[in-house]
Amino acid sequence: MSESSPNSSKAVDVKIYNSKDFPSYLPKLNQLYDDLFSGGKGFRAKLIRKMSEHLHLDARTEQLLAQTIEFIHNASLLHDDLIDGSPLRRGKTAAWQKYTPEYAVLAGDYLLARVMVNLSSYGNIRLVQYTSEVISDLLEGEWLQDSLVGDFEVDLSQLDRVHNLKTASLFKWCLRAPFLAMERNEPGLHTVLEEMGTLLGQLFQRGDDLLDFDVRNDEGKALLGDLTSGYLNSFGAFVAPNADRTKLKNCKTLGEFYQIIGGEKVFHEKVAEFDEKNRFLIQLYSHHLTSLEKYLSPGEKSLVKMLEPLTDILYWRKK
Amino acid sequence: MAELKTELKTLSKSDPEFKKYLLGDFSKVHRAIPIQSLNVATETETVTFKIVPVQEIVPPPFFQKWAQILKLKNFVLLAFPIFVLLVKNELDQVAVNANLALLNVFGCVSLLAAMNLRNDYRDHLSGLDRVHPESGSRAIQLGWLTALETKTKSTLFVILGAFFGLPALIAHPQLSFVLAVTFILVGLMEASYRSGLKYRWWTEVLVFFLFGPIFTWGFQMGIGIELDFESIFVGIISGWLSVFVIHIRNFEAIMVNDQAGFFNSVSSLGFERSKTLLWFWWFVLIFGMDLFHWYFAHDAWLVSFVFITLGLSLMMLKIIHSIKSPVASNFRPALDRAYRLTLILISLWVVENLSYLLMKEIG
Repeated sequence: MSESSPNSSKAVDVKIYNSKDFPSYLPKLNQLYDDLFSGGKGFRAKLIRKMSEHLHLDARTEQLLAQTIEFIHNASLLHDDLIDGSPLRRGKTAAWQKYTPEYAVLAGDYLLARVMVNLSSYGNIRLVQYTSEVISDLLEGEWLQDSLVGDFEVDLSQLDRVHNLKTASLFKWCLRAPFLAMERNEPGLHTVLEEMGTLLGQLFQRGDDLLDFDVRNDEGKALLGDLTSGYLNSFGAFVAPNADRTKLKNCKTLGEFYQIIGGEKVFHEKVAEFDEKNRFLIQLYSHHLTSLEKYLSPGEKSLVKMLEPLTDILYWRKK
Repeated sequence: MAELKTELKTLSKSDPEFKKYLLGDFSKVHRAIPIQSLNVATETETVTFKIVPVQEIVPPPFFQKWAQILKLKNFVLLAFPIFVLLVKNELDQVAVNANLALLNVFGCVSLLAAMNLRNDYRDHLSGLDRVHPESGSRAIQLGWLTALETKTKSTLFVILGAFFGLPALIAHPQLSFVLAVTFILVGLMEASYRSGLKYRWWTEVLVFFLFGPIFTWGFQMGIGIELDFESIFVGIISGWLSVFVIHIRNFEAIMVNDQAGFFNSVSSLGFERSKTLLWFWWFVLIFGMDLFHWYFAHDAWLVSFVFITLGLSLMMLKIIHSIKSPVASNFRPALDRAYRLTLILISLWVVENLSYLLMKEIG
C-alpha cells in the first residue's frame, strides 16, 4: 500500500490505511483491517482528495482528512455488519464472522479512537469538535435504524431523519472538514455546505436503495438485500405504503415484489415518480451550489464545477 | 431530464430582503414557501424559499381551510369545561345572564384563535416550522396565508375577543383581577418565546393555569357566578388535560426538539422516561376525574366513570408500551390513538352532563 509523500501536493492514494498506523502486537488487528480496507471504492476519500485539490490543501492535511473519513466510514461498516448479521462485506466474509464479533466491535472502536488521536495531534479544535459531532450523529442514526428492523410501515419522512444522521453526516463532513482544516469558519458557508451534504446524503441513499430493486444497477448489487434483512428502505417505503405487510416480509424475488405492489408497470411508474421527487432535491442542491460560489475566492471557484456532477454520480449512478 | 420551473431563493438573516420574504410581503402575486431543513441548530439563520405564484396555490374549501388554520380541534379543550360549567350552573339553578355567557364563549373562542395564529406566526419566525413541518396549522407552509397575514388575523381575533369580553368586564369589574393575572401569564409566555425559552417546562405550567383554573374562574366570574370548589376542580382537570395533550405533541416531536435544543419536560426526560411521564399524567388525570365524580356526580355515573376510565387506562398503557422508537411507523399513529382516548374521556363527560340536563327536563 502506498503512503503519501509529505512534500507532494497530490499525494493521496485512495488506500489511506497503512499497517504502521496500528500496533503490530495486537493479534489479527492488521489482518482485519487489510480485509476491510481492500475492495472499498473509497468514494469519500476521493471526494476529500478532490476538495483538497481545488482548495489547495497541503498533502499532510489532505491525507489526514481522507484517512479520517475512511476510518469513520469503515468503523461504521464493521459495526453495521455485526448489528445486521450480514455475512458478507464487499464480496468477502464480514469481519465479525471471519474473526469474532468482539474483534469486529473493538476494531471499529479502535478506528474511531485513532481518528481522535490523529485529529487532536493535528491541533484544529473545531475540526475535532465537528468530527466528534458527526460520529455522534452516525451512532444515533445506527441506533435509530436498528429500531426500524422489521418495521415495514415506516414512511419516507421518518427514514429521511435516520439517513440524515447515518448517511448524510459523512457527506456533510467531506464538504465541511476541508474548510474547517483551513480555519475557514464562516457560518454562512458552513450552513450552505451542511444543506448540500444533507442533499447528497439523501440522494446517495435513495440511489443506493434503488439498486436493491435493480434500478440502474450496473454495479450488480445483490437484489432485495434490505428487504430480506427485514428493513424497508426509502424506495420500498415510497412505493409500497399500502402493500400487504406479511407478503412484504416474505418477499424473496423482484417478481414477487412486482406482484405485491400491483405489477411491473406500476413499479416503473413509481420509479418515475420517485425520480421526479428526487429531481427537486437535485435542483435544490444546484441552487445551494450557486450560493456556495460567493464564499469562494477566485482561485477556489473551480470547486463548484467539481461538485456539480456529484448528484449524477450518487443518484443517477453515472460513472 | 425535464426542466424544472421551481424558483428557489436562499436568504440569510442579514440580508435586507430576508424579513420581507419571511413575512410574505415581498410580492402580491407570489408566495415564498420555506423549504424544510433536516439540519437544526445551524450556526446561521438562512432560509431557502420556493417561490410559487399565488394562483397555483389551491386551498381546500373555506370551512376546511379555516378549521385547519384555527386548529379547531384544539377548541375542544376550552369547549368542554365551558359546557360542564354551564350545565353545573343550570343544575345549581344559579341565575346566569345568557347573553353574557354567549359573549364570554365567543370571547374565549376568539382569544384561542388569536393564540393559535400567533403561535404559527412565532413558529415561522423562529424557524420551528422548517425543522418540524408537522407543527402548527401549516397554513404558512402551504401558502394559504403569509406570515404577516397570520399575525394581522391574530391581532384581529384579540380585538374581537376584547370586544366580546367587554360587556362582562363592565357588568363584573372584579373580573379585571383575573384578566390582569391572565395578561401577566400571557406576557410571560410571549417573553419566554422572544428569549427562545418557549419550550421550557414552565410554559407547560402556564398552559395549565391559562386553560385550567384561571380560565374557569374567569369564565364563571364573567357571568356573575361566585367562585366555588367545583369550578376550580373543573379547571384543574381541564388544565391538566391540556398539558397532557401538550406532552403528547412534544413527545411526537421529541427527536426534532432535542436536536434543535428546544427543551420541555419530554425532551428533558428522554424517550423512555417520557413514556412514564405520559402514563403518570394520564393516571393523575383519571384519578382527578374519578375523584371529581366521587364528590359531585350521580352515583351511577361515578361507577360507570370508574369502570370506563379503567378500561381506557389499560388501552392507554398498551399504546404507550407499544412505542419503541421516535422513527418507528407506529409512533405517530400510537400518539394519535392516545389523543383520541382523551377525546373519548371528554365525550364521556359531555354525555354525562347531557344526561343530567335530560334528567332535569324530565324532572
